[in-house]
Order: sequence, then structure tokens, then C-alpha cells
Amino acid sequence: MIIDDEEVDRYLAMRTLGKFDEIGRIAEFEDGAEAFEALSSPDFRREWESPPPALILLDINMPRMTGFEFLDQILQFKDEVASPWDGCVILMVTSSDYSGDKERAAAYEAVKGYIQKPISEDKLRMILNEHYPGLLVDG
Amino acid sequence: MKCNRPTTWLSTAARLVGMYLRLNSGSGIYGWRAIGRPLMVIYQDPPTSLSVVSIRVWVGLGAVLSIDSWKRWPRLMEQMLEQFSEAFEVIPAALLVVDHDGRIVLANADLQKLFGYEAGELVGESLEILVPEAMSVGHSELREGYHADPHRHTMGSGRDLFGVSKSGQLIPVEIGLSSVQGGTGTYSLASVVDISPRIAAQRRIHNALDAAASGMILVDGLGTIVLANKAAHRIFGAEAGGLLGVGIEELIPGRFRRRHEAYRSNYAAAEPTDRSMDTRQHMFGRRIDGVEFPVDVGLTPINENGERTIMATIMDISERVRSQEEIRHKNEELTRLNGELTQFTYSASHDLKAPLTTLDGLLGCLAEDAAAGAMDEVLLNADRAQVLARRLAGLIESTLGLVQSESLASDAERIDLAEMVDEVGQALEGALSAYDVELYNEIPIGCELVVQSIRLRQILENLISNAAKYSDCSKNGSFVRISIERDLDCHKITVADNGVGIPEQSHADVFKRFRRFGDQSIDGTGVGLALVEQHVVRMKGEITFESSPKGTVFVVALPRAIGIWSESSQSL
Repeated sequence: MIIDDEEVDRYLAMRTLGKFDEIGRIAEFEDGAEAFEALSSPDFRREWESPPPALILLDINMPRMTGFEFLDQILQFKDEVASPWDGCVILMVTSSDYSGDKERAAAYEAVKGYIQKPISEDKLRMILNEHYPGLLVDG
Repeated sequence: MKCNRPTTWLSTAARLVGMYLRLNSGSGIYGWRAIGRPLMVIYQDPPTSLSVVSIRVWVGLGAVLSIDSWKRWPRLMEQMLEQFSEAFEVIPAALLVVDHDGRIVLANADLQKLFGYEAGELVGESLEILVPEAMSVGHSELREGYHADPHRHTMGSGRDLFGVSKSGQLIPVEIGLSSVQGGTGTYSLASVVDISPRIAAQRRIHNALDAAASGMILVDGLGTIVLANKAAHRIFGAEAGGLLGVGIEELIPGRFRRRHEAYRSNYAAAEPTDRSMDTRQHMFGRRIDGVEFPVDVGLTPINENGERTIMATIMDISERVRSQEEIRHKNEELTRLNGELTQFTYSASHDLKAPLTTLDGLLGCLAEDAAAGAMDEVLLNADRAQVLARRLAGLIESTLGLVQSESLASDAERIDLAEMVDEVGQALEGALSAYDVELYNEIPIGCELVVQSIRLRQILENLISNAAKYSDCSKNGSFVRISIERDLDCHKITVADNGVGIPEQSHADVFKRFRRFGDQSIDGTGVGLALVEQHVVRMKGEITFESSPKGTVFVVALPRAIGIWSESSQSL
């Protein structure tokens, strides 16, 4: 799942993810609000519950609902919304190297990594190997 | 002879004189009485001898003079006068006796010394010789009045009394008067006390009080001002001496008076101690001309011969309050600026950097695709990179504009608002026609404002271009309408459109930097409205908005001091 307001960044993320054959479907959202609305919809959930998404690439600075607001929202409605994705790896993907953002991201248990843009194959491979050992054929 | 109680001596002397006069009247009976106090009795046996005896009993009668001894009276008188003079001389006070015509009958050495006369020089002179010219006019009348209604009293209480010496020097005095009845009329005995040392001491104290920077006001038990120094008069804007006799509540703003009165009586009733008055809140004084000012007051109770007075030390703290206020304002401003700066640094670091990092990623793709010979992808990404680069340039430009607007120090100038709106409309014609938005300029012709025109122009540019960019193509006849109305204390410029509106959840963030709402495909930097707000704030105005899916209305209220309406628009 890619949540980013910048179209080109989504393109870059898609392209990077596309390099991993092991990754199947990818959903794109323009901001946190759109992603949250989708997660709240039963149809979307039914479609995405099995298997649930393994990875969420989450931008921080977005209009309407920021990455952090999105996290707060899904944690607040964890039982009804987020539980199917309990094991899902959430990565913050942002151009911000502001220490406050990094600390804040680290405070979320669900956030497993902080990638500074631009996203690259190498960065992503490292994280995937860490959290899904054995997933990547050539990793 | 030693005497610690001159008054006893004075009364004694007076009685001696009275005795003499009685004797002189030839009543045949003489004597003196007193109860429980030393008594002087003069008796004659034989009549030529005169002696003074002190006894502590009531004596009703002296002795009866024989008829033939009556003839010897003149001699007797002479002797008595001598005796009185002797008594006068030994009394340590300046004394004189005046007859009913105002002639000096007796003056002792102390009195002569006080007024600088030689021995015996004053006897027979008019009393007015000792009275300053300025006072002598009414003095003889007063003296006659006193003779008509003689009573023991102190002259000059409550006012300054002066005698004049032989050399013409004024001597501040206090005069005690007693009247004695004689057979040939009424005589007055006056004791004169030189009070110059006392006056000097008083002046020293007054000078010291006047030298104090704080106002000092002494208030009696009824709240009447009995003493006030120079500073107190200055602080309350009163003429010299103007505060004396005034009720202290006069110096307090009306709304606090009743409370103050209660406080004052409570304070006086309790065992008062030194203290500052309530400092938790500002207290106010009221000048004679009615102007209020903040004060600091300290209270000190003074017990004077059983009478309780309160000394209030008063400081006009207008200056202090003003500077505190100023510091507070500056502090707030600094805090605000600091907050803005932090926010700005964060936003700038993210928002200026974000397109660059994206470009970085795209360039990586370009190299990759070029190497792989995927030229279509290369061209597509080159386009994307160009768009990003342009957006970044625009962003940097508007960010700089925002920074500059903080320090924009252009002078206010007179502008024609209708003309300005037309000019902005022409400048934005491309955008307006691209989005098919009609601009309605409803500013009356001749409506002139005195403003910083750069600021107002940028406000209009941003609001109108936003109205164009966020027009609603599903509606027929997209428009943006500019109008103005006069309010009580401001001019309200309204920019209304029938566009898509601002999403409700974003209303709180409308004026935040780098915040963009709605359709992200619309070109924008998220700086425009932040800049608009900054300009409005710098012009001491206020910007508000209402927005719904029907459209958005921005209202810029500028203070009237900034804008004026020309004569021609007044009638509109």
C-alpha cells in the first residue's frame, strides 16, 4: 500500500516495488484520509483481508490527513479497522530529516522503518529482509 | 525664682495685675481666691508695705482699707507697678500688658529683647508698633473686638502670625491673651512666644517631605487630608496646597470609592500595621481633572496624641505599567515570531526539499531507463522532472515573497481600489479564462484607500487566483466577485466565489503555510493564503472566510485609519 500525495513519488515507489517479483498487488492513496476511508469500507477490507497487505509506505506531510494522523486514526479504531493488518510492516517514507519526525515515528510500535526519500531498491530490500526473512528470493 | 510652668506664672502675673487694678478702683476690699492651687494674696498692713504670700486655702477677703489710707493710693500704685514689673522680669517669657486704648503699659525684658527695643522704650507706645504693616490694618479692630468680648485664648491658631521688630524684621509668633478687668477699663496681658525655631523645624520636615519622589498624604480618622507633599500634589494634578482638607476618596475613581471607604475604616478600626495596599491588581488614583492612573500605595499608621492618622505613600506607576505592558507585547510578538520561524524552518525544509528528493529519484529512473534504452519512459520522466523543477522554482519564489512581506516597509499610499482590482484581473486574465471564471469588480468608482499598495495587491492577486483555480466546473457561470462595504471601524473587502469550497476539516489550516486542500492536481504551493494572512495582519486588519461546497467568501477587514473613502464614494 502506498500513501503519498505526490504523484511522482507514488510513481517512484511503484517502480521500486515493481522490482520485487515477490510483491503482488499494490494499492495507491493520495493521502491519509483517502487511505483511512478505504480501510473503513467493508468492501475494501473484504478484498484485502486475505492475504492482508504486507507493507504500507506512508508519507508524513500530506494534505487533509498527515501520515501521523492516519496512524492515530487506525490505532484508535484498531479493533474494527486495523486488526487484520496487525502484522503489517509500516514504513514512513518522507523527505523530512527533521529529528522530531523521526522520534515521533519511532514511538509507534507499528512503524518498522523510516525511509528518507528518494526511495531506492536497496533501502527497501534491507527492510524487507529484516521483517520478512526468506521472502525475497535473491535476498 | 525657678519655674517650670510659665503658664502658672502668667496667670499669676495676670492676677497680680488684676489685683492692682482692683486696688486702684478703690473698692476698699481686696483679696484673691483660688481653690487647691498656690494663691497670691496681697494685703496691706500697714498700707505702705506690700508682700506676697503663697497659701493653699480659699481666701475670700483680704482686708478692709481704712478711709484715710485711701489717700495714699497713688503711692501704693507706684509701688505695686514696681513689684509687678519685677515679677514680669523674672517670668521667663516675653510679656506685655496693654490698656484698652492699645497702649503698652508694661513690657518685660524678654519682650523688649525679642522685638529689639531698649528697656522702657515700649511703654506708652501703641501696640501696633509690634504688628507688621500688612496685618496692622485690621489689628486695631480685632483688638477692640477682643476687648469688647474678652476671653482667654491663643491668637493665630491655624494661621501664621508675625510680630515686627524695631529693625523691621518679621518674627513668627504665637500669642496668648488674657483679659483683666480693671476699674478704669479692661487690660490685656499678652504672652508672646517666638516660634521661629519651631517654624524652621517644621519647614525642614516639609522640605524633606517635598523632596521625596513619592506622594505622601496624611489622612485623619475621617479620611480628610491633613498633609500632602509636593509630589502628592503633582501626582494628582493639584495646585500647591490644593489637597489639604480634601477627602481622600476624592482621589479615587468613582467606581472604587465605596469599597475604599469601607477598607479605610476597617483598616483604621483594626490595629493597623505598615503595609502595602493590595498589590495583586493595579490600583488607580484619580487626578483632580478626573484622569485615572495606576498607583502603588503604602500605608503607615501614625498615632499622634491619641489621634490616629494614616500616612499613605503613593507612587504613580503609569510609566512602569506602560513599560511592563510594552515588554509583555514585545514578548508575545517574539514568541509568535519564534513559533513562526520554527514552523517556517520545518515547513521550508520539508516543502522545499520534497520536490528535490523526488527529482533525485526521477533522475535515477532516467539514468536507468536511458541505459536500458526505454526512451518513452525517459521522455515521460524528463517531463515530470521539468514540472517538478518549475514547481520548486515557484515555491522558492513565493517563499521568499513570504519572508520579504514580514519586513516589507513600504509607505502607505493612496490607491483607487476599483482600478487596482481591474489591474489584478488583467494580470490574472490567463488563469481566469483558463478556468472560465468571470471577475465581477463591484468596487464603486472613486473608492480610495490609503494603504501599502504592494500588500493589498498581493492579497487580491492570491484571493482572485485561488478563486480561479478552485472554480467548480460543474456549476454554470463560475465567478469571483470583489466588493467593499464600510463598517463601524473598518472597511470590509469581500472576495466571493462559487467554486468548490474548502473542505470543512481543513478550515483550521487554511492560513497555514504549505497547506493545500482539495484537488492536489491543481498547481499551487500552499503559500498563497499564508501570505495573504500575513499581509492583512501587517496592515493591522483581519481576514475571515466562510466556505461550503457552494463557494467561498473571504472578507478582509482593514482598519478605517488605513483606508479612507473619497468624497465621491461617500455618497454611494
